[in-house]
Amino acid sequence: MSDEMDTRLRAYAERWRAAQLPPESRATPGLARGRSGVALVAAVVAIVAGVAAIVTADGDGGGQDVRTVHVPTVVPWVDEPAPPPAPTTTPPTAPEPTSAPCRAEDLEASLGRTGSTMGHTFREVRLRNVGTGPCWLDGYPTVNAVSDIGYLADQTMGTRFPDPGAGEVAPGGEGLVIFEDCSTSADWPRAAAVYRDVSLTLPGGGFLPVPTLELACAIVSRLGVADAPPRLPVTEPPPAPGSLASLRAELAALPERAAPGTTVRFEVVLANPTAVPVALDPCPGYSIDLEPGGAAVSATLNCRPAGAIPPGKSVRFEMRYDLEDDAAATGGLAKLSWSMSAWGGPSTGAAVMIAEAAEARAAAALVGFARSPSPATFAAVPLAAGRVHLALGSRTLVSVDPEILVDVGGWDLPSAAYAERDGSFNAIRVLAQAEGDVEIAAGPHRGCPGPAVPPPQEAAGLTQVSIQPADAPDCIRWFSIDLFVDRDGRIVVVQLDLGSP
Amino acid sequence: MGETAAILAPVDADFGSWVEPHLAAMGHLATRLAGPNDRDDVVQEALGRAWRRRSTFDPSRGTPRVWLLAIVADQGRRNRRRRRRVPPDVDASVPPAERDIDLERALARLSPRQRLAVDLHYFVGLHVAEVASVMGVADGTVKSTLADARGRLRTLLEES
Repeated sequence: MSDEMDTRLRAYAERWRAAQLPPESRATPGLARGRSGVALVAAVVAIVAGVAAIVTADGDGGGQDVRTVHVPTVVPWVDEPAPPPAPTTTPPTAPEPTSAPCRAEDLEASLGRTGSTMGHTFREVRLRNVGTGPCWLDGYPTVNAVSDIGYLADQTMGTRFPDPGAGEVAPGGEGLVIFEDCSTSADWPRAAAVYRDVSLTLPGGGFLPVPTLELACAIVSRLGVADAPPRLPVTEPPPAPGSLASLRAELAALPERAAPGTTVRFEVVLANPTAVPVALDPCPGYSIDLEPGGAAVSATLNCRPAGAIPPGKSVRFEMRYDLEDDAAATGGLAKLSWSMSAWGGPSTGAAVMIAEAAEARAAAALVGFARSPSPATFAAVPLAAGRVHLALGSRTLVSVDPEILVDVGGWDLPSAAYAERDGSFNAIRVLAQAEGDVEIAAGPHRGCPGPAVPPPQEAAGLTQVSIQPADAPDCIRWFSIDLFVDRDGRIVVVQLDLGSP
Repeated sequence: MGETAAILAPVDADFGSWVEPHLAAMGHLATRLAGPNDRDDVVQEALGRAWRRRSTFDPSRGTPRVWLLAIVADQGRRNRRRRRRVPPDVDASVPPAERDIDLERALARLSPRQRLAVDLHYFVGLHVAEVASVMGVADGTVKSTLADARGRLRTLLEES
């Protein structure tokens, strides 16, 4: 049955669609020739380069008198913006250009040396100055190429091989650019295409054809003039003891599955395998990303309670990541990455299944009922048939017929059972009176303060989801309503946990 | 037969031809999610991701159209978060009627989930089952999300 709003939306959408132009196809002149009649879609092959942050190793961390304070079992998460990233190694100052940038018409490209080291292959392209005056080579070219499956106009800047240095090329002299051949790399898909008809778009301008070169990807060095053959890939020095880089990171307590619109709670274990303490001062930042389905967020590590990580010890830090409502748009498995690399620390990651969860739906329905109690909102709450167990803390106080819970008073618990709080112990009223937004999260959680109360025995084998205030300013205003649902997504146990002053 | 070939084709056949029938729908969704100015960027970035992930396309889990639109939806969200875009104004390419302006502004106030369902169903023209596949939820969830969205739009338009 359609309603008036449905009709209005359809009519507007039809007008809107009629006014749209088709998306622009990015065929590139010159390289798209020969494919007439077909809108050539640019398949942009971008290879994500793993950029290892190199921390300036000043080496004095090990001898410091590092303050180590009492470390709680899990350092709680704090909502604090990330500090500025740590400075990376300062690159040498580039020489000032002494002539105009080389343009394509100044140069002639030819294949130079090829070699493999440590499983990585380089291809050298020599760039001879065929002009009448000197020109300056520097910067990254864009690589253009075609294959049977599409057009490539891209580059990943920086190979595993050293860049040639920027400099002037005299008439008749040669510069070069180095390609890393990723067709020999284990992490490049075997089905990758071979690109031919390679040309370079130079920073100085113009297309420079490169004869007979074939590519599986476009990882390039800077343009330059150094004639020395590429050296072995640079082996990064071991991190300095006491530096953040010497820490190892590992994810823990990460749920296997998380529902869109919920908060993923997990822990990061930072371990210090070295013989000297690692001071967390100043508190470094970290970032969390979910791919696909999310976006990177960054924050400051709550390192003050820890102060330092002693030699051979580890500290667990609580983490949170909010999944957007439509985070399941690409469906299925996603990689949750945690990284301190921009601050000079370690990185780690693990897979999470992003899927609509029955328990999250049940929690959302209960919130809906609490905010607007009615037979209709109650009907949306999937309660188990038979008995529903209502618990205060870790003890089930009443087991009721779900029918009586349509009345908010049916959720009342005897009030004498809780030592540190008084008042109405009623999960629905607690939810209704909550200030601000609530947060729905899967799995176990912390209490406030200290650990959460254990679930009642009736919850054994059931799936837990919690509803908590998103921004409780203190523990007295904190609560957690934990639902334990069965395989059919029906609520069997409702546990009310209230914060203590 | 042709449809089967098209469905199975992402790795070995011409990628451009494989995505071309769906470009218009991808463009519509990108416009709805990111605005007309960023439409081509979102489509292009989505195509790049589709290309890189083409070997993961599983025809048993959905059609190429659904798969590509899911990537556009994800790319649109990333784009939105990256640029902290304010709710979009009415698309300048559409002659604005006053009623349309009101409706567009109301659409911008829906939750991201409701907005995506409305965009996919009404503006891209997907059936409920296809919307469900793109969003990774059940058909019933899409229906209730659309019903909630229409109810919210009614309320917002009455307030305006």
